[in-house]
Amino acid sequence: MSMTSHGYRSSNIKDPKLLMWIFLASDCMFFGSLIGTYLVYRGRSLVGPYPQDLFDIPLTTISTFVLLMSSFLMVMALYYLRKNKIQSFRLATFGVIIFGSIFLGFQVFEFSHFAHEGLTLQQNLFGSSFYVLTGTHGIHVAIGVLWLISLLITSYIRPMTSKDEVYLDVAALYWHFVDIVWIVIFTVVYLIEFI
Amino acid sequence: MSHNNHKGGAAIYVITAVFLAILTYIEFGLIQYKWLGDGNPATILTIVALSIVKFIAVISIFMHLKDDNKTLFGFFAAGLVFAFAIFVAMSFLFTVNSTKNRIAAPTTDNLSSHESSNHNILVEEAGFRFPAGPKNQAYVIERPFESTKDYSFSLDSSNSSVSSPSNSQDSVALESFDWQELGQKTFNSCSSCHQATGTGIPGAFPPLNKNAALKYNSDREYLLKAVTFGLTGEIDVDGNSYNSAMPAWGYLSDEEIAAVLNYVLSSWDNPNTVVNFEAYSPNDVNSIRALNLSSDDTLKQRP
Ligand code: HEC
Repeated sequence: MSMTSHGYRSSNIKDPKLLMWIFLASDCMFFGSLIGTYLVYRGRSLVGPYPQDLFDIPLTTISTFVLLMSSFLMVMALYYLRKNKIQSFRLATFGVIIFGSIFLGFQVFEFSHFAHEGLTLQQNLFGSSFYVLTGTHGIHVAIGVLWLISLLITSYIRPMTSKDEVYLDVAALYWHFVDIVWIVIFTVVYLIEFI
Repeated sequence: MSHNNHKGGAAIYVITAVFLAILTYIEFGLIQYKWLGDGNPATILTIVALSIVKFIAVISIFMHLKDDNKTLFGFFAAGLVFAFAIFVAMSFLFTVNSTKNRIAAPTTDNLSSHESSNHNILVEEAGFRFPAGPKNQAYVIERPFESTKDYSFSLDSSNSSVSSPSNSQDSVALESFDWQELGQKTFNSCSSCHQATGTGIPGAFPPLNKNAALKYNSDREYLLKAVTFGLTGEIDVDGNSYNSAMPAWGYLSDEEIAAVLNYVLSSWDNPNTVVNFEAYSPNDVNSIRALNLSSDDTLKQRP
């Protein structure tokens, strides 16, 4: 199933894929400024609660692990679809959806715990910059989950075409990107606090 | 698909996943178990290096960038470079130069003197109101006290009990509650907004000089409420209106809240304005805590 027979363009890059990479490049700048904002305001909150009072490293390590493993399942889903192993593809995609949802569950738990400890969006600079950064990331994860659910449903209602394969490829790029953003957040926001 | 970007089997993905999991566990161990020792600068370097390795592993293997078209890599690299540039630019946001022309050049002696009220200057950048000053000192505000208190007391009504143990322990100290030093020390966390001499900043932070005494005269409990529960919304002080938020300081101890207000009421012009001043005791704070107000309630109860 050579892609050139469906050729969208002579450069051999499929349009959706090119567009996704351009989007990711711009999203990079978006997260770059949110992380920058967080770091610039770090340590400048006039009132508590402060990060060290709230962060729970074991818990966040688990959710980081969950997200990394979802990335692994994502790449496996693409691999199986390319091999035309539809059942395995479905299983892997389902795994990504579940892991992504677990990650979101951790985040909801974390946010409500922090809010109960007195950290609201308005409480201090830490609250505003932390919630905006991790909240934006969480919304990215949620969009990814919905997107994969739609691809999974598609695989049940009609046979997957090579076009679907490109869409899965693009969704996978998005998903991995969300994962690498979290790799940075985990280090720069959480771990650094305890060095 | 005849692309070369998935020539290998799934093994490479499995290996990468195991590798990523191990690196994450190492990061965890470095922080949680202090494998390299507490406060070792090597820890931060290792953690940053490990994250970069993880980042590259996901991009090159999971996202197939290693074997994919170089144009794609070009886009992504450009995005990363811009993100980094934004980041570097932002880190200059609060340096001396970017705020220089708004700061009335202070001399070294008025910086340390208690009389200086112009060493804290309000900087409005990126929509945030923030007190800033020369040489970064004025706004790198450290946590003033080690408070082991639970922050959650203002959210749940069982809280008044949070502070009672400290009171019963101090029942002797209660009679001779020595607030002068504690009050002055605690006021360090107020002076960034209300200024060292209680003048406030017109339009941003209301004065405490005179104003606090007048509020005390009309309602002895109001100041306790404003500090413990915060205050939001539009207020008028001496013909100037302020519409901002005063953070809730409820996480300070009863002693600290009582002490700081006693300090305010006995400083500057306040002693000349206040009528029948009776110093607050930690117990007064404790009974205010039990009211469990919100910062909006404080506004409604403002005299
Ligand atoms: C982050 C800046 C900031 C800090 C720090 C701060 N305040 Fe305030 N404070 C404000 C603002 C802003 C208001 C006015 C709120 C409004 O507009 O509703 C205020 C209002 C008040 C009021 C009520 C004044 C009135 O006229 O009703 C009192 C009393 C007060 N502060 C005391 C304190 C004390 C004591 C501290 C230190 C423990 C402190 N503040 C620290 C910003 C601050």
